[in-house]
Amino acid sequence: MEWHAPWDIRVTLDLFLGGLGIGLFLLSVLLTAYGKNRYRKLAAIGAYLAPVLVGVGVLFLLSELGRPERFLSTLYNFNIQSVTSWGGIFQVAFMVLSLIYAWLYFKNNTSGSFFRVVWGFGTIFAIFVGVYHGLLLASLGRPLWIGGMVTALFFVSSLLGGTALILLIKELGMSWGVSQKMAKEVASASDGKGFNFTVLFCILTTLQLILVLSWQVSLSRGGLETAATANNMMDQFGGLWIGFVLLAGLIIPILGSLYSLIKDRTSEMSKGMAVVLSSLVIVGGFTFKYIVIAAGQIKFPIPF
Amino acid sequence: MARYGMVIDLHKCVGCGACGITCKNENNVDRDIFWAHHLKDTTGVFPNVKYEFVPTLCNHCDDAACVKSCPTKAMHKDDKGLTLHDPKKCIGCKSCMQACPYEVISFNYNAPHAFWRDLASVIDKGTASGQETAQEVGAPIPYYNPDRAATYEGIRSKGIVEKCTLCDHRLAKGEQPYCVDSCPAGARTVGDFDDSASEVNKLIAQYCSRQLKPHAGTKPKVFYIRSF
Repeated sequence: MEWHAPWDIRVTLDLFLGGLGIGLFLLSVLLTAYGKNRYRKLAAIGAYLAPVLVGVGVLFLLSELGRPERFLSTLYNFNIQSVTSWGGIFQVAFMVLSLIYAWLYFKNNTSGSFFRVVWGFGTIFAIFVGVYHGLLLASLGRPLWIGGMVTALFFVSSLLGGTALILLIKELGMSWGVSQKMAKEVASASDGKGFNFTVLFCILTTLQLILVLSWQVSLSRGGLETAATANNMMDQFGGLWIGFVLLAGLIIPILGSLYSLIKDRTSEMSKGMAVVLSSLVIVGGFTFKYIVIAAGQIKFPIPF
Repeated sequence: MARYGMVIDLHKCVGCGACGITCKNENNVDRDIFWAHHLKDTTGVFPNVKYEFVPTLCNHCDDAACVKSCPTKAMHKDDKGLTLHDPKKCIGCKSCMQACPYEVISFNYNAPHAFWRDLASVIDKGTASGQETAQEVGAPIPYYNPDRAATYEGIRSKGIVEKCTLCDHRLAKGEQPYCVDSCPAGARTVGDFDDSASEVNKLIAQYCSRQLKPHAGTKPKVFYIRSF
C-alpha cells in the first residue's frame, strides 16, 4: 500500500503565497503610517498585490480539498475548537478588507476616516491570518509542529517574505497600475532620509535565524518522538535545509545587509545586492515552509 | 451519556486478522483502507525472538483530536461517546488525519472499489471482470452490506475521509460490533465505561491495562490487557 502525505505542495503554496500577501499588506500599512505621501506608490503596489497573493493561495488550498464545493460550510458549520474554522473566517475577512484597501488606494482615497477604519481592521486581520498559518500546524499536535514555535516562525517568515518582495519591486522599479510620474517617486523613496528597508530586512532575517536555531535546539531536546521527527527531517531534507533555508535564505542575507549597514547605516543596499538578497530570502522562505510541512507529516511506528 | 469503548485481550488474540477482514465485509471498506488494522513487531535474535501483534482501530477518544480539528463538525461525538463522521459535512481537508495520533482515518483519493467497476478480467474470456461480477450480484460490490447504510454512507464517496464507527449501526440494535462477533478467540469486548458493572470495566479492573499513545492526551477508549 502506497503512503500519501495527507497534504501535498498546494498547502505549502497556500501558506507561502498567503504569507507573502499578508507580509506585503503589513508593509503597505507600515509605509502608509510612516509617510503616506512619500511612499504612496510602493504602499499602493503592496495593497494591490496582497489580496491577489492571498487569493491565489486560497485557490491552491481549495484545489487540495477533497470536496472544494463545500468550502463555505466552514462558515456555517463553524467549529469553535478548530483553528481551521477560525482561519476560514480570518481569511474571508482579510480578503474583503484588503480588496477595499486596494480599491481605496486605486481611487486615491486614502485620507478619510473610512480608510483609517479599513487600514486598522485590515492590519488586525492580516496579523490574524499570519498567526493562523503557523497556529493551524501547531493545533494538529504532530511532533514537528507542536509547541508554538512554528507559529512564530511562519509569521516572521511571512513578514520577511513580504519585505523581500517589496524590496525587489522597489529595486526593479515595478509599478503595476501606477502612473509613470508616481513610479519615479517609488524609485526615489530610498534616499536615506525616510524608511530604511535594509534595517528592517536585517532585523527580520536575524530574528528568523534566531527562531530557526531555537526551534531546532528545542526539537532535539523535545523527547523521543519529536527528536526522531527532527532527525528524519534532516535526513530527508538536510541539504535543502542547510543550503536554501539557512545559508541562502538567512545567513547570506544577514551578512549582506549588515555589510551594507556598516558601510553606511543611513543608506539602502545597492540595487544589485537588494535584488539578489531579496530573491534568496523568498526562495529560502518557500523552502522553509515546504520542508516544515512535508517533514511534519512523515509517519512513525506507533510505540506499544 | 454512555462512553462506549473496547478492551482487547492480547493473550487471547492469535493475530489471525479476522477482525480486519470482517470489518471490511460489514462496512463495505475498500482495499488499501483499514478501519480495523494491526501493528506488528518482531524483536530479538533467534532463538530469543519476540513477535507482537496489536490490533488497532479508532480509539473513540474522550478528547478526540480529530473532533477538535475538524472545521465543519463533520467529526463529532455522539451520545454513546463514539467518535463519528458525517460524510455530508466533510470537505476533505484531512485535518483530522493530521491530528489523529493513531493514523486510523483514511482518505478516499479516488472513488472506492474501482476493482468492481473494472472491465478487465484476469484471464481474458476465462474469468469474469470485476464489473461483470458486481452486475451479476446486483450490488455496487459483491459483498455489499446494506445494513451499513443505516447510520453512515453505505460506500463513502471520493474526496472525503472515513473511519471506524465501532459499528454504531449494530450497537443501535443491541448487537456487538462485527469485529467483536467474528473474533475466533473472543479477544475483543465492547461496553460502556460509564457503567461500573460492564464487562469492559471488570476487565480493566482485573488486569493491568495499556492504551496507545496515552501521552497524546486524547483519552483513548481502546484498552489492551495482558500480552500477545
